[in-house]
Amino acid sequence: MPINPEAWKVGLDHYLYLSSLLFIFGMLGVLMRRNVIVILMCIELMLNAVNISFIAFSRYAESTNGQVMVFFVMTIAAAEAAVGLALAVTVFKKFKEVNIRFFEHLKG
Amino acid sequence: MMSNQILFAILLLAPFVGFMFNGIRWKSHNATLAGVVATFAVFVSFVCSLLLVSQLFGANAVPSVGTRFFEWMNVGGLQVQAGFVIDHISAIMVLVVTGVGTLIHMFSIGYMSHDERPSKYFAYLNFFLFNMLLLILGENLLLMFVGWEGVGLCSYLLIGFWFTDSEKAAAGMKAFITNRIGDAGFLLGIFTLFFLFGTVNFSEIIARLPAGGIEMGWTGPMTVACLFLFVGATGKSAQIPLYVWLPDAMAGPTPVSALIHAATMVTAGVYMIVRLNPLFLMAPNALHVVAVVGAATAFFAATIGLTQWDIKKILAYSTVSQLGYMFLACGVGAFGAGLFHVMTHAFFKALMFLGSGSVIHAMHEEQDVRKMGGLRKYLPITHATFFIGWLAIIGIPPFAGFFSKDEILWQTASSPLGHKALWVVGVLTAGITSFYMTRLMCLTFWGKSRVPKETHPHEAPPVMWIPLAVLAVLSTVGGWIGIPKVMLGGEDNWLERWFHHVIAPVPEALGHAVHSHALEWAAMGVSLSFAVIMACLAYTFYVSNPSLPGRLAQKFHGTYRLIYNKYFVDEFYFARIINPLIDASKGLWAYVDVNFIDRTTYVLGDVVRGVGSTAKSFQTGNLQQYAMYIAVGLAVTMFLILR
Repeated sequence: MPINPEAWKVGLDHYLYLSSLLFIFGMLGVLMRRNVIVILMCIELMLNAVNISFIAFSRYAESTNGQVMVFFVMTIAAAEAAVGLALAVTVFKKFKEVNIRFFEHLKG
Repeated sequence: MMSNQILFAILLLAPFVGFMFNGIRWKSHNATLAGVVATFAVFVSFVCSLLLVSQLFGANAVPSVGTRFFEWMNVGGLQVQAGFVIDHISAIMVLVVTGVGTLIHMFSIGYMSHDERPSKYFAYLNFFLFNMLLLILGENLLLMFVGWEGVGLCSYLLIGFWFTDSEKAAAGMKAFITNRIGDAGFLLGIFTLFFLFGTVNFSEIIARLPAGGIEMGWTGPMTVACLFLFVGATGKSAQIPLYVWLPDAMAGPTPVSALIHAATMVTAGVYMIVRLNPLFLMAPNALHVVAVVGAATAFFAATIGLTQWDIKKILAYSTVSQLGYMFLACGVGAFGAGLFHVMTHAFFKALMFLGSGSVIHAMHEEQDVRKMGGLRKYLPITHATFFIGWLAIIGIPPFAGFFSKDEILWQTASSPLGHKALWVVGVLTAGITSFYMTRLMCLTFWGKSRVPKETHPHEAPPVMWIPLAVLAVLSTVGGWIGIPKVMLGGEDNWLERWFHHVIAPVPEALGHAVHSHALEWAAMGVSLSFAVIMACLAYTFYVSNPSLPGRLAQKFHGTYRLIYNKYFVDEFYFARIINPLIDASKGLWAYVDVNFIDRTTYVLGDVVRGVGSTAKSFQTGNLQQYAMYIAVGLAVTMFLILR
């Protein structure tokens, strides 16, 4: 059976499947893990899953708008990671652990 | 006219400004300042009313002076102007109210000098004057009603002025609630009149009366309206069956009793009927009710007055009785005589109340006449003025009361609306009045002194006896404007000419008046001699032979007890009306409130609490749980969109 090269070509839908998969992994991580560092990493994962779909759509639509959006997302992700890590460090200093349940104390 | 408008504004607002002045500094203890300001405010009103009333006199006399400040209401068919008018009827009232009011304010300066809250007292008093002026001068029933309610409020505040004494506070409430019943009737009367005539303005109502349309039945609209208005009058003017509040109202300071509960406010009902006299003449049955109720009140209140021991209670029952005379006059179609008696009564009853105030002041708040006697020695001026008031009320010529009372009695006998039985009741009442007033004089001023040794009565200061003296002069000469025709040789007296345009004669359809000089002289002689005999009898009872009244009371024990306890009317009201109402309210509370209203709210509360506690369980503070809600929401949304 001859190989149909068209069928093996990587297309938009493949990127979207990958993106969704990564997003769901990230979301499950956020929902289930107790460690704040891991949760932050999972949030990064979700954001980057979204970035993949942006790039894919950008390529598909032959427009650079999506790529511009990615830069914004990356910037914000960096900022968010900085804030999140700072909180994590503070919580660690106080409780000697970075479990998510200590964040309840933030409600004042 | 512009200047009239300004005069009216000053006339009305001067007491109001006084009220504001004393009301703002109500904590002040400076009785002299408060009193002088209040007295001056009323005096300004008096001067303004004199200036306005003077326009009704002379060559350029006008039938009435009035002004309209603004349109108060314009709703559908109801158009009400904030308008005020002085005509021949309101002129007399406004002069009496502001004139006597000034004197009583002045007396209060002395009487209230040791009180704790003089500013508050004078603020209430001025506010009362303001409302009374609204009542008198308002050109329509609605303005009158505003004043009517306002004076009721002030009356309540002043009766309960010493509210720390729960009995006095209760007297205030009794007055207020009893008046409420009358006010409801008055309001229904206003509604009926508006429904009938489409206006509440006095002159428009009178102009729209059907010509010659006298209603002979009981259920005609005008008769019903008049009866409703009369219910209002029985409340405010203390007639059967709503008179019970007035004797209790004596709990207030004595000048208040003089001003509000003798001279001015309680005559509002009479004034209202006189104001609407052409309307009442269209409803002869309503007038019969007025006359019978008036005569009955006059008689019953006078008999109660015979047995009382509290000096102010005696005067209070006397006031109720005299108000009965005024209604009797209105009821027989002698509206002019009724208003004449309002005026003379304001003079001599204010005089007697202030005199009693002077006595109470001298006796250090003692009001029981059994502990007085022989006070003539200590209080010569009070005694002299009280003596004139006594002559006036028992109807000795030429003092004021003789002329007005005689006019009423003669009209009762001669008017087509009158009746011989009413005249007999009137004469009997005059005799009883003479008896209990003489009894009051004997027990207070004459005979042997029963004053406790530790009390040293002293004459009042000038600020208190000057008003007494002025009122004594007025009680002497005040009646001369209404000297009967027979004494003037058939010439109309001043009063008749004064009322010529504003008081309608009894329609000829109702019959003709009796004209007989001989009869008039005879009637006058009978009532006068009866009064004199009763006065002499009372003097014998209480000065010459003081043990006699006690023996008589022993002999007619049952009757005495019945009258002494005021015919058990209060007890009857409690047993038949008030307590059943309270029981019914308690029953409603215990059954309807608890079982239905309360239960409904409890169920509603439980439902709300249940929903709340369910919602509460969602809000835990667990971040991951919140993220879970978001994820679930997202999933559901995706499902709905992509389905």
